[in-house]
Amino acid sequence: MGDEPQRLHTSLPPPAPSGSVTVDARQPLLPTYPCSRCHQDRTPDPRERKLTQFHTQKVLDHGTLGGWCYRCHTKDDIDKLHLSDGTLVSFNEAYELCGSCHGDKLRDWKAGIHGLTTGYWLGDRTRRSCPACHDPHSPRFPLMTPEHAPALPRTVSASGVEPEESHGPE
Amino acid sequence: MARSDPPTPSVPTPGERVEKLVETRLEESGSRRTFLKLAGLAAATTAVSGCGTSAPTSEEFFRQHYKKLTPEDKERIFRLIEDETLARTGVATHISDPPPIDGVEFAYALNLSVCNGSRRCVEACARENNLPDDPEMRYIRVLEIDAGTLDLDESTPNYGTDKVPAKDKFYLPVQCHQCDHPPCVRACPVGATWKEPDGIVVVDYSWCIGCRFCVVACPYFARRFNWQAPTVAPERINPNQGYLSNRPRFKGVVEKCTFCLHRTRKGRMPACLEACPTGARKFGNLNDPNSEIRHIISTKRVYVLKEELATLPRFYYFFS
Repeated sequence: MGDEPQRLHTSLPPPAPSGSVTVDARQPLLPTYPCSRCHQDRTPDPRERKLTQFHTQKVLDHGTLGGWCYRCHTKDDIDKLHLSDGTLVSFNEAYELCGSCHGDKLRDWKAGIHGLTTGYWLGDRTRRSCPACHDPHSPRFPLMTPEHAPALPRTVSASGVEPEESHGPE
Repeated sequence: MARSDPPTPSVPTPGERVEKLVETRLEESGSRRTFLKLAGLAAATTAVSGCGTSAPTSEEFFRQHYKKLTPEDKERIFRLIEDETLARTGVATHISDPPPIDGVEFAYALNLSVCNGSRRCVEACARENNLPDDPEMRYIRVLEIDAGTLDLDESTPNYGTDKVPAKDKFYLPVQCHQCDHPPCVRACPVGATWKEPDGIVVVDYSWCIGCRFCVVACPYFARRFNWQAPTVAPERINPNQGYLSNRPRFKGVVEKCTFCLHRTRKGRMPACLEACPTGARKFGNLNDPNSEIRHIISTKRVYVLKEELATLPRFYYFFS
């Protein structure tokens, strides 16, 4: 029992990295997808204005991002997003669009450092796409209500140790 | 939970036997030395007896140290514990003992830039590891620290349930750092806690004598002592249990975070990591040059708590 287990260092080969990384698909989670269902009957209006009929809940608070909806959404192909060079990307690959500005975050995300990855460290795992945590229209991570504070020991009140109770029966 | 009567009253349990011995010896002009010896034995029996509910069986009382258990012993003991849990709580559990994986050394990294202090990890850990709610025990403490400082003395784990992150604060969760030079292991007088080849520091709950030297020795306040019999509501019991991790513990023994070894030695991520809403927690194999954890350590500026103590933690903090 006294013998200390030997540290392995890197003498043994690590288990071969197995399994794949799946990025959570976004499209099945979008309540109004495909967008073309409604938009095919409407004429695109690129003017910045208050929306009164549809998408009224959307708050656009994304830094200095200008250009209204069609900065990211595609006028001629409303079911797709587009990069600044015009390349179309699906909603499932929205991270490419986010990464066209936030390149450092995309780099970290692709390396598994930024964002939540669950599943198996030695096997298949699932990675959350950017919009799973950040609403692209107002991407700041929302404030959360934390779980309760740790319970204080019975002998401790918020103001300190109770003198009577601080000593157990001797 | 109240202690139930021993199952077979005709045969005295070891605890009763020792009590009886103490009584009779005291009546016969026993020397002080004999008395102390016996009293010590009685105290040890009490510590072992825990189990939350019942007096120890002779099997529990005389059970060997984990490292001396044969596979047959383990099989028998695991089934005994499962039966005991089933009888006590009505929950069918499964106890396993996954061995360390060859070539794996675990490490953890936590991104302080995104941790928002939501304490989701704390509660997920409690559920995964069958931590009691009364008296409450939690392995992870989330420290709230003033932004722009890193003064642990001025930090508090007791912040309330106002929305987080609070203005001008940041959050630093602390749990067992699974040190490569663990001071807690050196403090243990009976070898009930040790470092496994994959770096996880474990406790043999059946061997621990409850002296709490390790609790004091840990510079990260990562070890917890069962001052009372731990109770978990049956509906909250996690049936997937490891002998060295989240199996039932008892009054008078020390326990701690084990990086969820019953999950991670089977390739899964720890429970605290999967519960994190911000993805601040990263886990993996330090020996795998392609792992995320290695990428973090080689590309980010990581640091450890109380580096000057040379405990060599496996738990890294970074900003990204």
